[in-house]
Amino acid sequence: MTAALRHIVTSFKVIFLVLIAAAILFPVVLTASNSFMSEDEISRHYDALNSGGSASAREHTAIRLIPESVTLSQFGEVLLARPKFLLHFWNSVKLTLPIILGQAVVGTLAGFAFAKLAFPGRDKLFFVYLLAMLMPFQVTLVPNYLIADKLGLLNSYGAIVFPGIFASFGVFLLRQFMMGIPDAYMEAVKIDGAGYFRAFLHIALPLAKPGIAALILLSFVDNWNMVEQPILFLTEQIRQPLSVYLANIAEGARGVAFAASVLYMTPMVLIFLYGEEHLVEGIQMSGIKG
Amino acid sequence: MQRRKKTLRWMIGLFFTLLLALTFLSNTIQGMSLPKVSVEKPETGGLDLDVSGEGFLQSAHTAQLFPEGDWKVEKIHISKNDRVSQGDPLITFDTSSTKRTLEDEKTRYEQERIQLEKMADQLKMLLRSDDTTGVDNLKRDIEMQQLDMQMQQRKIGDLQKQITEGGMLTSPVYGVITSLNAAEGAAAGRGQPVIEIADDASGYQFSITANSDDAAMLRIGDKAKVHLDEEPRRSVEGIISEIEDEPEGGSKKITFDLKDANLQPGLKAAVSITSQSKSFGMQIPKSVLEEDNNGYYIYTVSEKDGPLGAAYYVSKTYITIKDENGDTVVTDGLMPNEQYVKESSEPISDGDRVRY
Amino acid sequence: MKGGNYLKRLGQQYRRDAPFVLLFLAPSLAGFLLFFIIPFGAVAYYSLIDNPVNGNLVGLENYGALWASGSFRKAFINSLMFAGVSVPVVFAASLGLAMLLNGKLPFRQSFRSMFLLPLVVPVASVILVWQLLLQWNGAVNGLLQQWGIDPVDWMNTRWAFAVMLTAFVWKNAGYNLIIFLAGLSNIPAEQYESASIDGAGAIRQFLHITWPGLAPTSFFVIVMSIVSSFKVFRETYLVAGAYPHDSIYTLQHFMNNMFQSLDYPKLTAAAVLLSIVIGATVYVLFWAERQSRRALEQ
Repeated sequence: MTAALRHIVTSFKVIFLVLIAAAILFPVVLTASNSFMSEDEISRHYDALNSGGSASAREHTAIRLIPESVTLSQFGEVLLARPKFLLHFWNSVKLTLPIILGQAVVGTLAGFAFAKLAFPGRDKLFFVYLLAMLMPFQVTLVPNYLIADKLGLLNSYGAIVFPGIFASFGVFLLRQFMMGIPDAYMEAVKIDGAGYFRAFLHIALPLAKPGIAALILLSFVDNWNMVEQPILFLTEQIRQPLSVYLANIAEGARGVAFAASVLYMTPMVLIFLYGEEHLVEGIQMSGIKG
Repeated sequence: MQRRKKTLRWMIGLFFTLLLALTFLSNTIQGMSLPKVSVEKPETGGLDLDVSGEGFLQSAHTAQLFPEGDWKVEKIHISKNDRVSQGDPLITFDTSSTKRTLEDEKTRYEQERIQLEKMADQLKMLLRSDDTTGVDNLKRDIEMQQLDMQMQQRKIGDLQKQITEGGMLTSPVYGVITSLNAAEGAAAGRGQPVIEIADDASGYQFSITANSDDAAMLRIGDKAKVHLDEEPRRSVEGIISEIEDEPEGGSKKITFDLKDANLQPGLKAAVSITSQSKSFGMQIPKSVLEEDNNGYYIYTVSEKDGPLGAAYYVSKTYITIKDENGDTVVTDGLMPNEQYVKESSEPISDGDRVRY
Repeated sequence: MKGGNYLKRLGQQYRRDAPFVLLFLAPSLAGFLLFFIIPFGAVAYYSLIDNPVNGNLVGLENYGALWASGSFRKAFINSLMFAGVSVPVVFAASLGLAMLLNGKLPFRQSFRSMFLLPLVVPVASVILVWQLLLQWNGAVNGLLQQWGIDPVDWMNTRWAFAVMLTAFVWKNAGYNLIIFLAGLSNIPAEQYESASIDGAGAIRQFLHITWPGLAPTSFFVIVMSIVSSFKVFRETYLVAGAYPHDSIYTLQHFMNNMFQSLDYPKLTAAAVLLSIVIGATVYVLFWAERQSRRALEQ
């Protein structure tokens, strides 16, 4: 293959990838740009058939990425006039944060046990963990509900947070990470007479830091989006997280809903950009069969 | 790369700080734009039905005095609101015109008497002439003349009586002059009463107007204390004698009878009767009531724990009206310590957050 | 001899590790037992009794009733259909993207970030765009009309399936892409070099080097995709609510609705069936993977 040909192939590749990237980014960009559009402008651009499907209304249909006039009123409305948005935002934080932190602690400990300690039935138990991870939430819905009821957690965040903390994904991911720590490191510490705690604190933990970061990111992604658990376990509208609340405000005030959506995805996107390499590393680790 | 991370760290921090700040400020921001309401707890119990009012005493009966003739008023002996006894002189009329008529009538009588004499003489003459037809005719004429003279005599008598009795108008009853339609020197019209006198003997009464709902518990024959606007103040007992609907509807005219000496017409009388309705419930002012298809409702305030501290929300509470008076209703459907919205700075609707 | 020695050493290590195993594993194991294992046992038990109050064993009666229910069969078939279609599609899409992104390329890192972005974008925040574009009087129908094509009721016809599929691929391709890229980078570059020298074309290279090299990764991608396909409920629910069009009424909808209507026997029976299906699939795939690895090693 000549250099010129390779150049042309590469150019085509890039053009193709740009098109795909554009398609993938389209909904996100549209959400962002629409959040700066007035309600009126949104209706004008998108509502094709509402005014009785008249021809004049149809002519206006156009998907616009750049607002005719940028307005911040939507954001003002969401942040200042609707305390509900902030309330639900913090609901989401209250649900997500304990799960992430708890999962990191529990996962690191158990991941260490599965990766670096020997005990009978270890791999079988791990397989059970793996299976549990793959089960949809609905499978254990009824007993989880009954257990939450027994523990007095019903209609409280505990009913969602505790199962979240003990979800096997954290254990799985950190076990994968710690499998990558050479046994020789551990042996060295043990020969020195240091116990498992030292091995854990001084070797496993520092080396697993990227794994913990990856877990935090992946768990954040998963739990920030949580829908099933709150709609089934929380009866009060006011306690629902943002994910559920947003789906409900979409009716009617779409301009406001777009602004709320942008605010909703902002922390996700910022943290993604911040910890992207950890996220990638975490995904790669999840794909390594060990 | 390191710079990018630093920027992102800043942005994440800024984002959460901003939202946190807005959350903490949101109550304040909200507070400024929320409608302000004032609330009150309803009082429990039956409805106080207050009937009060003032009226001016009127006698039950008024004597109307008319002049006897078309005379000029010569002298008025009393003035309005004077208390008079039976027989007291009230007005002296100038009866000279009637006197003159009397003289004229007397003169005419004299003339007729002379005529009669003349006719008697003629008869004497005719009897002698043996004219029977002429005699009969003359006799009839003489009879007519005599009848005319009797009439004239009665007329004179009437006029004399008119002058002696009517020249001086006196009070037929004990009472108070309530109206005086005469001025000295001016003629008093015959058709209208020159003087009206409230008759003490018939008693006094006054009326007030009250809301029908408030008056619902009042009955004819009920006794009430009536305060009179006199120096020194005193109160007498009044009895409800009449309750009738006012033509406009929604209100009633209540008449009280007073039996007491020394009353005067026009005296201001005030009465205040408080009775309790039979129904029992929450008392709510009518002004806060609203109505929609489902009936009457009021807004009540409830407290909910918001993200930061308590927040207050109004909600529609439907009530059933058991009883009402002019400005208050007695209702069911409200908790005793529930607070209702009395006033709000802006129109509110169900579920609104408010401050107070 | 050697084996016996090894076992002896292993036994020693077990004894030495035991207290630490307990310490490290205890928190996780306790929670795992309480929130997953016991519930799962309970689900299995509930699926065999008439209702939680009476607790009479009824054998497989609940399963019979479940299978007799039209909405369950519909949901079950839809879920299988969706898995059957969406897994190959997302597999092909992410593998294709990975092949494109593999090797030297300008903006490679940025492309990867962009393809991964949908993973972190909350579903709830893009469903608005979805509704805006695809509802009956939405923009897509507007454009179709401008071009003289009859509008389509996207979410209330069989098109809903395609819409869900697109959303699924959009959301999950990035995750698989990362795994494939890792798999591709593990294939030694020398293999390609020697193949080129031997004169093998791109297709041969793919069939003989790339495909076998990716095999272990592929199995994992398939497992994860199947699991994700069973979890597409979240998106569907947010867009179409608890009762979407028939073609996207999945097992999760069925189970959620059974939960809401307190029909525990059906729900637990469906849960057991679903977990058996998932468990069997995972087991078969892992078994197949082991076979293929053994074949590769020989």
